[in-house]
Amino acid sequence: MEMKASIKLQLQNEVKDISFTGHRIALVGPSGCGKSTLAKVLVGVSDKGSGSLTLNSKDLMKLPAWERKIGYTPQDLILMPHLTVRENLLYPKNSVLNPQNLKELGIENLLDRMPRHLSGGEKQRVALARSLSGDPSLLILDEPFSSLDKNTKKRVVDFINHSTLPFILISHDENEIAELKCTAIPFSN
Amino acid sequence: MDLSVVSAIKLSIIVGLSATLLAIVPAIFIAKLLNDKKLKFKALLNVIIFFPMVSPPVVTGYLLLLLLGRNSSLGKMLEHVGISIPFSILGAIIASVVVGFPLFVMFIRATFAGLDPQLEQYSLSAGHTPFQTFMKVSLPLSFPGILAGAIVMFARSLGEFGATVVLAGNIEGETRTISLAIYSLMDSASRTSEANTLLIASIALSFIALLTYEACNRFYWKKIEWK
Repeated sequence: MEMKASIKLQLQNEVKDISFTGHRIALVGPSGCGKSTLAKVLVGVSDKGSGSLTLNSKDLMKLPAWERKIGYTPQDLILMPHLTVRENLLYPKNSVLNPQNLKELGIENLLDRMPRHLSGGEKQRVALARSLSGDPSLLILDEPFSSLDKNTKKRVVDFINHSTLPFILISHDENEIAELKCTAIPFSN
Repeated sequence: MDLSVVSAIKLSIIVGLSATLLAIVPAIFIAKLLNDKKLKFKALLNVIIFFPMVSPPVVTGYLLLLLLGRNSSLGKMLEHVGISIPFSILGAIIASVVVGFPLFVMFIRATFAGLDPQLEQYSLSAGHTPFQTFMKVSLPLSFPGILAGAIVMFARSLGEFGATVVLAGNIEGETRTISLAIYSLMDSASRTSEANTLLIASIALSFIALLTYEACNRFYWKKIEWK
């Protein structure tokens, strides 16, 4: 399933035009160049951009954020602090717990914990599992490996590689992009 | 205990609780509205909401009397449906709501502003509408701030004097709250003990309000910590 995007991004000092087509896209560029802002525009929670993001001949940009069905893993992970891991995983609308996903990500024993008791890597894996729990049609993963050690990172890469969902990865690591077989879209200052 | 003392304590509690309960939903709504960066006429709304905080309470009471008194259009309309506000307990409650409301809004507004906006953004992306997001994220996470605002509102109501005396009068058994009763008793040297009893009652009520806040706050954080 291919997605097609053409976005005009309004950053502080400039306007950027970004276009891409593909199934697995990686937005690559240095910190502060607007990658996360673009992710927020695509998800529908920032008004700093406009354009189209077409998937299954439907323009998601014309829908409000809550109707886009995008599984989003923000850079800062953002787990709900007042909910347990289980409740966080069930937070997306129409979500279900997938025991297979929990096992593959190694978080099946964390379900009754509160987010404040998780390590950075655990939070990252929970956030990733959560982005998949609401049966999304597209994933947007903003730096999903930043807090992971080498072994866990391999586990998560394998996990994402098994998924058939189209996704947009935000990263500045060329190895990650190669491992996830993404089409790199350069994003510069 | 003297009946007038008991009645003043009872009235203070009724007025304080009613004013606080009546103000909760509007205060949350106004606080949310004032935190909306895109809101038009925000400055005007701010001035209207916060005016009672900077104006002398007697002036606020007089304005309320002009607005809701029996000679005003609104007052006449209310009289027509059997509601009389001046010199009634309802007047005391309205005076308390108007005077305490800005403080309540300020507390809730500060709490909303302190929430990480990314939590709400994530919630929207997870398929929840803005209202659902508000109910599931903003409101539960703002509970301590809302509670603190409610306690301050209640305490402000206990101390309310100026607006109440102008709008509701100082009628024993009907509108005479603790503050008004102490003021009335100060004129009479023979009733010092009653004034002292009211003073102790007032301090006790303030302590109970603050202890309730502490207990609820601890319960909330324990629930989050140990759930």
